[in-house]
Amino acid sequence: MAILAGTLAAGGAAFAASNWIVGLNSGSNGQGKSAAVSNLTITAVSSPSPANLLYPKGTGDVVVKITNPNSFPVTITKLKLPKTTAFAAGYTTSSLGSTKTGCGASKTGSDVSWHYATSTTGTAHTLTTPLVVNATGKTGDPLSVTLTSDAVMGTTASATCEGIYFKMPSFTGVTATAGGTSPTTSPATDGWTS
Amino acid sequence: MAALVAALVFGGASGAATYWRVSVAGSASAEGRALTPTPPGDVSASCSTTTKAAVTLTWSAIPDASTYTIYESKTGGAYTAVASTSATTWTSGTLKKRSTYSFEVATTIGATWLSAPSTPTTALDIHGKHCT
Repeated sequence: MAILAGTLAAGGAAFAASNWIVGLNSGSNGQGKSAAVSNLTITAVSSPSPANLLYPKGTGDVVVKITNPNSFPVTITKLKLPKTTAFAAGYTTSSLGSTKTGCGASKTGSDVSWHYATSTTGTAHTLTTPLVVNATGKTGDPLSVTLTSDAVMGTTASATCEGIYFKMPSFTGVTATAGGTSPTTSPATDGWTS
Repeated sequence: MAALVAALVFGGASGAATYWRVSVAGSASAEGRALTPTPPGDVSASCSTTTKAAVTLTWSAIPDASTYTIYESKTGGAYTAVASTSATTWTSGTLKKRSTYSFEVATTIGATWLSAPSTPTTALDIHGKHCT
């Protein structure tokens, strides 16, 4: 099998597109191919509205929008989470413009974290159904996804968090493959259960 | 907006899938929302059938509620908390005669998330040892 090592060609500032130029490593058989891959983006969004809302000792839905700037589909199979002590911050509006006093990103504030997160950063959690984000500009890109019951609120959540919005702590990575034959229809529902 | 930096790890032979390992640069986040506790919408009060000069309240369960707090108003006075229960029915003790009572119920989620009180119940009169 051809082994291709990724080489970062141009990593921009945060949120800027970064292209990766891929070359062949020693030992490859010459059948590999070069590729230039642009970043995916994941954005916190409020639409569609989550069906399951958070409450102390309960789980709730969260919603993301995934954008694929590449000319080919991308299939995401796993998401990597920060550790369980990474908490969501509370916001007063769905646009996440103003933080909510008393409901900060702490255990005594929101007490909201990712469900099934562990004490270790970067644990990978397999999606129930792989997400195929279509090529840029095609139907299914961007892809809105409701992650069902993948946020959890602890017992110490402040009462100031009632009825407000949360921006979850950032994913630490995803596992994805290029390609995918059947793009996921947006909006989609997915998640992990362990 | 969040940017995911893709690190291509290996590609297969011609035609095989190309795999990426992807890490996050910046904030790749998601949005959730917390519920607002709501009070029972159908609190009804009736004279107790088991205790003289007492009132029984009933209401429908609120999803995820941990307890319900009962507030009592005597003869038009302010409502004050008099009991807490995890059930959806509650019976008062013997009430003071020649008084009128109405009640409200609020929902508690978890330990501290308290809803607004429900609409007050219809007032019931206590006459001597009887309720009407």
